[in-house]
Amino acid sequence: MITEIGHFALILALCVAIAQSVVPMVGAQRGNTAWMDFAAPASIGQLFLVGVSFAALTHAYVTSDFSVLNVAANSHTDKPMLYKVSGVWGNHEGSMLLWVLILALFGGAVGMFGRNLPPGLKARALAVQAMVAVGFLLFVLFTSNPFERIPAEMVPLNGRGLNPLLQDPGLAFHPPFLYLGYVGFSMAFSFAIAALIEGRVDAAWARWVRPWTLAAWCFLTVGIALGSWWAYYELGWGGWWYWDPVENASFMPWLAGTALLHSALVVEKRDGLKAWTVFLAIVTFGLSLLGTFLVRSGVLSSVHAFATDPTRGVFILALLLITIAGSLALFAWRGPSMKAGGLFQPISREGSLLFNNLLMSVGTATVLLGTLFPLLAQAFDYKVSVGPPFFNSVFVPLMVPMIVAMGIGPLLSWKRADLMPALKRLWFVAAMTLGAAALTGVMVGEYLVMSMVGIGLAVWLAGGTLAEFVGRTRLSPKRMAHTPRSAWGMTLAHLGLAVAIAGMTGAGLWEQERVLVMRTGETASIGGFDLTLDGVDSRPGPNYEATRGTFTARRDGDEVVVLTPEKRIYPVEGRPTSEAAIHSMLAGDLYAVIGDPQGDGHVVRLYWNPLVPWMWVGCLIMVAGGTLSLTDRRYRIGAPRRSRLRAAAQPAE
Amino acid sequence: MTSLWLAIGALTVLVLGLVLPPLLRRRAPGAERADYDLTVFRDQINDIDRDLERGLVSAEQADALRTEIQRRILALADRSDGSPENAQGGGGRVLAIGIAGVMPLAAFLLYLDMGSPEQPGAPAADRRAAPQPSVADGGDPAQAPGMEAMLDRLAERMRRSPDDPDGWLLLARSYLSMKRYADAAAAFEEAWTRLDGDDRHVVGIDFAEALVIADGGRVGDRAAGLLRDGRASDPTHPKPRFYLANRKAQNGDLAGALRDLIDIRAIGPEGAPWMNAVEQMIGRVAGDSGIDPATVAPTEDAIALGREVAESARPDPVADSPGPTREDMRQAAEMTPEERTAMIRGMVEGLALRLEANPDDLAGWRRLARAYRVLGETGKAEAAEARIRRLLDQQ
Repeated sequence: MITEIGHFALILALCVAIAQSVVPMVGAQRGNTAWMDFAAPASIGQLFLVGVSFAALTHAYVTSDFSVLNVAANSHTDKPMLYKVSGVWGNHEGSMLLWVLILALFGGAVGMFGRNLPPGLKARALAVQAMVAVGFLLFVLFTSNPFERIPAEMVPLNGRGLNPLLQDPGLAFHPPFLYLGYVGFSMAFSFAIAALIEGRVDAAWARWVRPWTLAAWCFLTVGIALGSWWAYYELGWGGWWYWDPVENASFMPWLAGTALLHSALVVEKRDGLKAWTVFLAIVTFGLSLLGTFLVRSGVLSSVHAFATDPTRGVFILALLLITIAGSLALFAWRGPSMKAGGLFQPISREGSLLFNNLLMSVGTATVLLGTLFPLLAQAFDYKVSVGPPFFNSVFVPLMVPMIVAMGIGPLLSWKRADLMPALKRLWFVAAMTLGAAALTGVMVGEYLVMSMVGIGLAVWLAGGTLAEFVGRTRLSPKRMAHTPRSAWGMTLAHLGLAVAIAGMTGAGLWEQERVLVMRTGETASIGGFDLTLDGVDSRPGPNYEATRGTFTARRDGDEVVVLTPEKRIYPVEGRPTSEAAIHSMLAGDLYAVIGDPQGDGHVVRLYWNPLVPWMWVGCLIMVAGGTLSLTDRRYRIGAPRRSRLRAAAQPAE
Repeated sequence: MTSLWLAIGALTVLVLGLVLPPLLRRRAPGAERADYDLTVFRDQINDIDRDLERGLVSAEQADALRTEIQRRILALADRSDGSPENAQGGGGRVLAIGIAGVMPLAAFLLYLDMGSPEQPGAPAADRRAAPQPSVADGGDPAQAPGMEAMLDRLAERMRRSPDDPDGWLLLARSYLSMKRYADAAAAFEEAWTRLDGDDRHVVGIDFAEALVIADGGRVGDRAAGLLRDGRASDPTHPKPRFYLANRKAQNGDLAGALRDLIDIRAIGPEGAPWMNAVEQMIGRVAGDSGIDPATVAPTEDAIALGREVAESARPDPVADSPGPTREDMRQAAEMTPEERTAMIRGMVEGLALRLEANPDDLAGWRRLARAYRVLGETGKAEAAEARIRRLLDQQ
């Protein structure tokens, strides 16, 4: 019964969303306050209904109700509870329901907490949000319905399990965060469309949009980092980024969203770059939709594409085209009417933000090209593969000048600035950068230039960011206490990126790998550690059988850690997964994988991955910065009272 | 069911109660758009004052910035005339009644079309109440010889009343699973002589396979005849073609064997699990004969059949699919109960067949045992359970 309530709730949510996309829009156009006020409760009602529906599906998973086709196809009674719950979104139908839930979550949040928004803007933005929701609810209900039932007499006694690769805590939480990010940008999109319809984008608009964009950005950062972390420890190759089309699909909205955050700053502070910001908001959500299309249509064949159904692909493609073409047409029509705001010199805070935007956009375009080109070529029967070499030689060099500018930009003042004083404040940082690069050059043998550039950039960015912080606060506690949280946020986020860049340099360039057959008692060395294979045994897990190797890692004879990598076979799915054993240290990760038996030994892969933890820590610092900025007091301005002056001027009713 | 409708009704009323009030309320005119903008601009001016206080901007810069914001406030005043937020609501009541009428009706009709309100949930915990013999505890070691005894009883029964082809098939498959291939072939023969039409040919393929295995892999004349009949009855079935190709290779016609193997590959379906065996065989024959398989093109017939196989999306006769697919479900939903039962039986039969090819598949036997339980075929279920115990003992 609960499943059926969930099904009905989802259908009712569609009806509410249709009303929500029409009534407030018409109301805002006609100036009818009652109709506009319909938007907020409707968005809350929609969130409630989709929430009920999601809870119902989760209930079906938790109780292993195999009369629900989606549960029978993706769950199993033997699965641990955590993966029964994460199984809800570990499949196409459920993940689309999660998508719709998050769409409703952002709409509902604006409905609940958006009291400081002008009613017209709020009504229009929520109506646009509801239009997107209508599209996706139709998609879920008519092409990917998770509530489809199995006739009572055909209900199987057990389910078909879940891809064992997906039975992992990292992956259990990767999709929700990624979706919170992806879908969160829908709010910026809705505000942009609302502003285009209203015909005004101003400083106030930028301030109202910013927190929603910032929240989405934080979630997306966490989501991407989790995905990368999962690939790193689960796929068993020690790699963390493959420029895989699906990874690119999440990276493109992140790049565009980061650019959007920075250009919205110019709108807020200086009333400039308005059309560009609105355009970026559209592009960012458009890229999120494109990502959904690429992953969900099965156009790409990869672990992620568990839906390979052409009708679904066509549906999402249509949705994508309508959304992007419609919003860009609206932009072409209304965009030019937006008057450019404050003027600025090329050398200024705005100038550096524009420069950052320019490089980020070119970077996004590069990734987009690299992702779509093989698909287009395939459509014309050419086989082209665009891999890491393309991205490393095109995207990475684009980011170098951007990072250099990031070190200087925050030191420049708005409107017009002098480069020289800023550079004078950075001479010490520049010296440190050169020193660090030289030190790297002495210590590292291979990839000399890239290593020096990578570490140099990290030191430069960290130094520049700290120099700006020290210059602003002069390290006095009182000044620090008065520093707005958004400024703290910027400092932290930029520092986080510096840490992450150091991590990427180490992990990407200095990795050491050994593949060998080891017998019990043998010792192999890597990265200055000696690893002894103490033994291999098998042990049963809850729903798998594992072969476990036990390694003792020693450094100069002292025991450092015992590593126990496993190779698991999941009998229900008949598929193996490898569970790498990883020991993280400040200097890097010791990483061991056990493979198949060979002769009287086992195939073993050992890695020394320097600085890898820095990447995750860097991402966490970035997210902490974003979150701190989100709590800035300027986003908590209350709703205005009715101005007395105007009230007096109105005729008595 | 009644409680479902009550819950659905309550949900609808709740949501209507949430969304409709704003349409019914007469609200005093609220703040104007300009007021919202002003709040932000005032805050920005305060920001500048704070920055000035802390020496982040010079007095000069602060003045310039302040002027800029003031200019924006002025621009706002120009625009705010006739701002929509000034206007009043109207038609709210009519709209509310419209929504209250149309929305539940639309949702209800759509749900009637898409939902399955009459079907109860089937959580695993409730269904486990039905008694199920435990196989996890490994069973009684004495049960393994019991299997032999049971087989003998079955054989005895079949000899007494031999006119039951299904019984002979069960016996044959049981023998196969116990690696008594000669006995299996004999039992298959009994079943085969009592069947006709396509059934006879399909069983003939299994019969031939048992003969081949019993004969240490040699494909004799008897088996070849059966396989040819099987191929004629189902030209896309890989088994008869594969064994016939083997026969050619055994008789020294390596080129012919290679041609036939290439044909099997062309017929497909691509990616079938048995394709590996075919590829290996192609490699071996190519190595022995010195013919590059790339130079051998499949026959027109094979290409045509391959197209048919790819288009028909018919389940692979040999493949192991762990359960019903989405398509199966959709078809099942449109069938009569009798047809449905027949389809389930078909799937169970298919599973039994696959297990005979792969008798060590523990999970498969468990599924088969459960399926027989559900179908109420206690005897077959017990046989499968005995089989599971045996496998567990072996481990």
